[in-house]
Amino acid sequence: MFRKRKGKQLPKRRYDTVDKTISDVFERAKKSSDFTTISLFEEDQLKISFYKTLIDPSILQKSVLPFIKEKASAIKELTDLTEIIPIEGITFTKDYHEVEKALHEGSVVVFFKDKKDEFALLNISYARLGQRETNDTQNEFSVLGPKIGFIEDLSTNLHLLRDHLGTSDLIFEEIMVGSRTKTKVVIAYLDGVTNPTYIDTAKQRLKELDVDVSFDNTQLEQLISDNTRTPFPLFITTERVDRTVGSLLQGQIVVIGDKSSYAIIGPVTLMEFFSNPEDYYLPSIVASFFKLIRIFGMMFSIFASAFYIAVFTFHFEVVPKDLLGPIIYSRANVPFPPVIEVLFLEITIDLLREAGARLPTKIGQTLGIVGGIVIGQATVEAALTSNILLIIVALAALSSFTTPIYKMSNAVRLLRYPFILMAAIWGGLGIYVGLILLITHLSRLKSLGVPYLLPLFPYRKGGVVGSFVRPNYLNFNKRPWYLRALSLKRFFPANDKDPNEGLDTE
Amino acid sequence: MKKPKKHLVFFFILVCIVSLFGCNRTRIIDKISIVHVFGFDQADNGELVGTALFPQYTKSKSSDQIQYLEEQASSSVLFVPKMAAHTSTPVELSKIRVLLFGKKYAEAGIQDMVDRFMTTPQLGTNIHIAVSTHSARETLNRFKKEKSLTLAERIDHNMQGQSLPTMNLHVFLNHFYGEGMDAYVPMINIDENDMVSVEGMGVFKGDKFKLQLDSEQTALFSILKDYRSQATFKIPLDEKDRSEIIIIKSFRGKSKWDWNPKKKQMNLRLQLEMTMSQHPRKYNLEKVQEINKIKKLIGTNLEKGIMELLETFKENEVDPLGIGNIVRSKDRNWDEASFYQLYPTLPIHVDVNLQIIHSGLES
Repeated sequence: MFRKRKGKQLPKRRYDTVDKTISDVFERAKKSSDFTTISLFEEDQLKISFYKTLIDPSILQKSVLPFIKEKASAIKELTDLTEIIPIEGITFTKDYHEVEKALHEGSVVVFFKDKKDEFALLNISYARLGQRETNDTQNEFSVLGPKIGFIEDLSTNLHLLRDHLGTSDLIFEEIMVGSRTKTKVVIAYLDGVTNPTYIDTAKQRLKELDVDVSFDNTQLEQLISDNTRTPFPLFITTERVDRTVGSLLQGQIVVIGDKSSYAIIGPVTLMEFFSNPEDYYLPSIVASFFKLIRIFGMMFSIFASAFYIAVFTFHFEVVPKDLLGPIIYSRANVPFPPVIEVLFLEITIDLLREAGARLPTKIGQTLGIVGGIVIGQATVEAALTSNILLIIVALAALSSFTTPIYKMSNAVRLLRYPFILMAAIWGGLGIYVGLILLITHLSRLKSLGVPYLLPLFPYRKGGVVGSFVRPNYLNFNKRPWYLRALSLKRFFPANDKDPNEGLDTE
Repeated sequence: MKKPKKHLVFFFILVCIVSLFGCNRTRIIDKISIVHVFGFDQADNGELVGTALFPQYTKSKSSDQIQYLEEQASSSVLFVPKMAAHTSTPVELSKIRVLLFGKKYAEAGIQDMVDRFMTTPQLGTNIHIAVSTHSARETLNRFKKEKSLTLAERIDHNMQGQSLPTMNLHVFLNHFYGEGMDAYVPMINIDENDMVSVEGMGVFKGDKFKLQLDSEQTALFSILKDYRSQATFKIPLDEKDRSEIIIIKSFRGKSKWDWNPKKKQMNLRLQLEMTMSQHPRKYNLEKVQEINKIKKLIGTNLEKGIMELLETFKENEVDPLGIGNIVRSKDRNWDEASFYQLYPTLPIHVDVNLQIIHSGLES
């Protein structure tokens, strides 16, 4: 989307109605039932207007109204309000655009009835109204490590980041997105670490973005991504705070939006999708093993059923002799060729998955039993599929869940189908043709201008091992240089000081 | 306007690939008849008899349902079409694990058949080739009665852990077509209890079966040929007393051939590591002298056996050890015909260097 608009003129036309004067603003606001205007003095001199759905009524009742009423006579000018009302952040403006904006942010507007050219804005918004209180991670679980996740409130999320990263190098830059919603989006980065090119690119894309609404960062991610015609996510969308802080320290930028519990991390490489914050909490050997398991799981999930088709349709020679018996026996009564069989079961599994995601949790458990046990067993007994295939498809579905990032696991889930079709047409050759097309596609992808397959292609020395395993902290004190961070060293491991040395010399 | 053209080219290539490879016939695993063992015999009228065993897995999970087919044809190419007339699904040769020749047919010459193996790419070369003392027909019939398809496994484990020298179709073809060597195969026998057994080996001369070795000769041959032969030898010291016997098992064996061009003599140095399983009580193995004594005893015995074996080869003018090939590697002017004229009288000096790595314990 971003790329497509390149070279075109930005549209001049606005999509929302434009107010000409300040009275237009109030006129239109009054149409809403939640817009309230209170007159304070006997001659309706001083008026207070606000959206009662946006402000915190208790502050209004306790800290605003009593003070104004008490010293009503003292108010001659609007600027006197600063001395009367014990609230920080009273601003005065003559610009009606600002008034309108402030109203929507939860300010009360104070003005004299006959002097409609100056307004005092008191911000008493109730930002936490309607927000959830729990901020456990909902979709990215880990056994170890903090379980704090982002919630759908920008200030909370920024608080979490600032709280975790107590350095003034952490910079937040705010940008408005959405011509109607005016959603606040914050680009966070570490000054002196993050390469300014990434910041500029992200900022430019966000600023030039012309949409009316951004519901969620997962949507925003697609709007600013380098290639929108790919199943692969080009940014990591995460709800984990530790992951976000970790990537800030790596020299990546983080985009956090209001009303979204997901942070966007960019630029990212493909292999980063298979690492998990928990990798850093486990010993590096254990973590590396699990990371390899995850990568294997991704491969298995994509290729398992494709290989089933290729082998059972074209290359039966590769089946070991002792396996021929059970396989043929279980397939003997199946009337379909392996493709139909596989497609039937794969679609069933995806139906179950999709239904499980849409259903309420309590019914979802029943679905697991119905889907997993009843349908699985029944299809085999009805000779619609073979036993072996049931195992393979179930394993493939299982291993697609090992990918920590949901968007990537969806991409893996989808990629199965082209490979299944390729294998059905050309067998093993089809899988290789598909693999070549896939690698070509991957090597053309970019995330914020950074090649997606980075340490592998274009090959960068010293990054390949780190993208498959989790290196030891002693060897892991630098940021990956191919991400072009401004400073590479992260920490200096002290020399090994073995207390035994001292004891032995005694 | 460059982009759509690119897409067109890409699409064209895709169409080409589909039409080129999409014509490949599918071979769905449960809709084919997979031949496991194929046997060849010669019929009385000079035609070939092909026999094949198919497991019928669609009827049973284990391989106890075996279909047996026998066809007579003038050429081996005709076997498959003729067999296909009897099967419900297409016959596939690519999973053949053992090729079996009847001894009579092997003695008459198998050149045309081996040529066919070369031109049948479906056949893997990591499969066994064997000759049966009875006709291949009889042997396969025996297997059908046994309800097992384990011929390949029988040959396999005998090669790995027993005295059979390793051999597969790949090596066989090399020996068959190679200069300065002759092919050898394991022998399949139906013994007096009507059981199929793997016993000894047979040696070809050219394309004709020439010589059959018994088990003891095969064991000696395998320590000459293989590095990790596990052949067991029995050396009786006294014919009458059952306890006067040495039993040794080979563990590792390195044979080093040396051609002396001046004397026209072959030197064989055999470095053996063996384990002793049983020995007479009169030898006390804790004493070095006694060990040396027993080592010498075994050494001379093995040397004698090997000399006899080599004599047998020379008498029959067969060269399964590839001595001609060894000489060829040392001699630039080697000529096959003139070497094999000399071969029956070629002096071969054998020197066995034996090491006993442990005794008593069975391994």
